[in-house]
Amino acid sequence: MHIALRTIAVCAALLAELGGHAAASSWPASETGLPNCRRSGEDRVPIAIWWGDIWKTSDRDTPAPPPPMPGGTVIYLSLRINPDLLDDPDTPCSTGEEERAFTLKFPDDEKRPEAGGVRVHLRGETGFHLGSCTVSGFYVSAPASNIREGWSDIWLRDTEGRIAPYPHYCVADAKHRPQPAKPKVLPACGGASDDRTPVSVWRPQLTARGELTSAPPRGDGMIVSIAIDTKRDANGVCAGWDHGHFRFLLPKGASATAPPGLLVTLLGNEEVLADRCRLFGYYMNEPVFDQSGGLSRTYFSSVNTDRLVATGQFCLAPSGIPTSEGRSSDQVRRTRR
Amino acid sequence: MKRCFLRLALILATGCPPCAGLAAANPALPPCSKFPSGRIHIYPWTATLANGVMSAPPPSNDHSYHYFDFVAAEQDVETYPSVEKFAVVIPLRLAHGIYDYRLYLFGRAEHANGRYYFTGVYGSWADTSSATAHRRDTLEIVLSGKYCFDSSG
Repeated sequence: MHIALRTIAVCAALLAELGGHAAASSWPASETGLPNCRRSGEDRVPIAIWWGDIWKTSDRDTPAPPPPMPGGTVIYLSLRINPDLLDDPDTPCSTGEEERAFTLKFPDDEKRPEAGGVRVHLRGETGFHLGSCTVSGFYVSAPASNIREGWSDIWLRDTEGRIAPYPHYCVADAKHRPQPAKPKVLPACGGASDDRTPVSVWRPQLTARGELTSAPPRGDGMIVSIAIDTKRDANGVCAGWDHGHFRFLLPKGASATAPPGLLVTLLGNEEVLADRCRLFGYYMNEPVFDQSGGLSRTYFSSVNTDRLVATGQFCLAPSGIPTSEGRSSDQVRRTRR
Repeated sequence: MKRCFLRLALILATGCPPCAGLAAANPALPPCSKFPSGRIHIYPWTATLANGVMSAPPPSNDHSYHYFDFVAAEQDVETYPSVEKFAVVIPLRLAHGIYDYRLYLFGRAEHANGRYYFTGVYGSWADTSSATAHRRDTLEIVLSGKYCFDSSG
């Protein structure tokens, strides 16, 4: 009898535990107000969730920081953070939902924090609940490099309530993560009657010295599809890599569009392959006015492809529809001839 | 002729000529279509400021969003420590005298070549004595799909 009662009690406790987990795993998703993503055939923009308690950044139960993201990636945060982990713990998290900025450090090796890790810089409204600093809501990322070098930085700021009404988003938690499908690409422009904005393609070749041979299309806010392959040196470092950014020079006189020499900086959308490094994807151009050293400058940062495609306002310019190999269709046609 | 000499003197004195087309930002935001689309229109505003002389009047208060292509000599810009806040004084000539109209700019600006470059989409509003403009994130403007650039003015 005693054993039976104990078994029932254990089973009841287990059921309660399982039920609790089920509820716990669904509540952050429901908190977003977004519908769940479908496991397959999902056309909407999946929004990831970073949630849980961060009491010790090296703890096994601590939710890992999100991976580096292209610019404009939306993520939902629901975090309770130990105030001692904030870089200015003397400034209390406000109960009045005031905006503040702070950095959370996730060292790769707790015993050697100088070796680096991931730093998450958050700017948004915070709250204070049961001794925790709370952060909750939709956040959007600034572009970040995929290449880890010492400390990697992820920048997130709250969206100030500008995300929720978007109908083409869905929430991708552990249960509703869409299956990896073919990467989304912009549709091809459909001719003169197409009123969408054409996206130019830039596939520059690099010289043996790692310099550019053509100038990129430029314009503040211009979206450009870019693919650049660079060599890796004996130490495995990608040519052009410089403290979190890629920088390539278009020398003076190399192109009529950049007479004094043009320094092109790119951030994000990088991939380190066995024999080379690749920058590939959609970028947004922004002007740089600094002309020190007699150089013009321009800046490209990675753009979240899902959101770009979801606007329905962009199409690929007909002269250069990229293939999965990262070459433009023009280049492919030329190669086949 | 006299005006041209005045401008030449200004160029020589400041190295930041308001009439030399220094403002060189080239907005490439999705253009507005000819037909109503429900999108929010962004209108261009181009100006330079040197020695207290503005090349164009402040942005119209009729529109909420402007693409600023505004270059100001650094000595004409007031900065605030540890915040992305700037202010410039625009002398406005009215019937009963000259008024100092103050334009506050919030958000990122590039400081280079002895100048401040205020470029990008700003949401602004104004009253009789001052105007305030907040810079909006360009990428968010593009990815929201809710804005278009109206170069018709």
